[in-house]
Amino acid sequence: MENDIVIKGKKEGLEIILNDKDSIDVLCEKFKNTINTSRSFFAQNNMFVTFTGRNFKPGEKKILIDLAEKMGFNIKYSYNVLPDNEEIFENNDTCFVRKIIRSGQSLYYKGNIVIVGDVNPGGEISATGNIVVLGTLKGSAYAGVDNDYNAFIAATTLEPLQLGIGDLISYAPDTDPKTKLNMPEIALIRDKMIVIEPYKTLF
Amino acid sequence: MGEVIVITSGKGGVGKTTTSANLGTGLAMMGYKVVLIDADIGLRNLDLLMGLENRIVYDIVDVVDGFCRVKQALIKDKRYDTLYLLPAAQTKDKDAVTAEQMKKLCEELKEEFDYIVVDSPAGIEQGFKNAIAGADRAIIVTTPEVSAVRDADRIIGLLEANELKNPKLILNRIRQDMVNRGDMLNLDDVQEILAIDILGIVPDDENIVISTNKGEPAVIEGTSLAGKAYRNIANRITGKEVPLLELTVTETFGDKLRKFFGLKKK
Repeated sequence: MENDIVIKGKKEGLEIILNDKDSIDVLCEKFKNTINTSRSFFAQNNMFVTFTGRNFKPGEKKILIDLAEKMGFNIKYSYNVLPDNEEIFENNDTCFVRKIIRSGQSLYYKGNIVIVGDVNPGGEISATGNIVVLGTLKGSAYAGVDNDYNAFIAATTLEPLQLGIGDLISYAPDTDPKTKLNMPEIALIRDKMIVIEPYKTLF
Repeated sequence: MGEVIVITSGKGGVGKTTTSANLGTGLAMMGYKVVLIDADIGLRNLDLLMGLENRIVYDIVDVVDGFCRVKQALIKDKRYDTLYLLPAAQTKDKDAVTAEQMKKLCEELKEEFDYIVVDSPAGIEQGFKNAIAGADRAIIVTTPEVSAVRDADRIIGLLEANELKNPKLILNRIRQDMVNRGDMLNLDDVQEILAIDILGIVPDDENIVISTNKGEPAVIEGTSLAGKAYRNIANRITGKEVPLLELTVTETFGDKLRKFFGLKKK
């Protein structure tokens, strides 16, 4: 088996170039070999990693991140376009991002994510903790991806294509919600279902 | 030292080539030295819109491969002395030019020209990467359709990743009558998603089809609304402040009568 995974070290972090043809199982095997042969690259913890060259199916990226973790390496962020330093801040377990997540861009963070900006349709954010969007969430958001059913997703304007909390996923209704409330909303799990509530009823 | 402007969109058929031809011509009409580069290798069109297809001897691939000098491949426009076209190759494909070669070519042309307008191909593959390689700024063309806006959003993200910040937007093919009926996205809807500066709006105008077929950019002709829109945009590119085009719908007598009696237009 030829190992065609390429790792590039950049000043912002690591770029891991994968191929698009392999099944996820083959890819995992290759990724394992890559980690073993280039341990020096993976030296630091809490790495900023971007995976390129592959169109990930839902959950695939998570499998690779978990695999790396099992082998003793902690990937904290993954982002398919490396952001500028001034656009991303980290504070304990929370990552603050000051930019628009556009179609085709994705962000994974081990912890909570706060986006100061919009998440456009086709953009995707996932976090092991909670997600807060100070702006319009029109893309997809997955909170508590380590099966944390207590996670929540809140947005100033919540109009997502898809929401995920824990391993539950729900998608937007096909009919145009004419009764859309013009206020911040929060998505959380009640009775094993994702429900969306106006933010103010929490108090 | 000139400036390289890439015209791009992601989605095909939204008017990249038409915009390139009109803006290039518009800038030349103001007296600037302009070269249009057709980066859509394999599907060359810009020469048709400019009415220069019969003059092509060498093309961009010949230039980067060293078969000829840049000067030999440049085609002088038949109307404006300061306007040149560097045509695409029709027999090669997009991999015939690399991003490095494109960068070098743009640097070379910058020495001599005020504006280098690069017409990008549709898509996000090698052709797109080549087109943006040497660019100093980018103009995104989109139409008021969700698919075109979605692709434009993707392109803005990719431009960001390639260090091309603050692209400007041209909203093309607006039909004001449909906007008024609420059947078409308006400028605000598009800007709400894309959140970038607007460079201009261009109405859907049948004169564009006529001028494309004639090989004469609409910007030259004094009367058409689309031509006026492109003249305004060309002015804005040079830094002048021009208000956005006022798009109004001409009412027929029947419409007025209906309005008078308080009947809604169907």
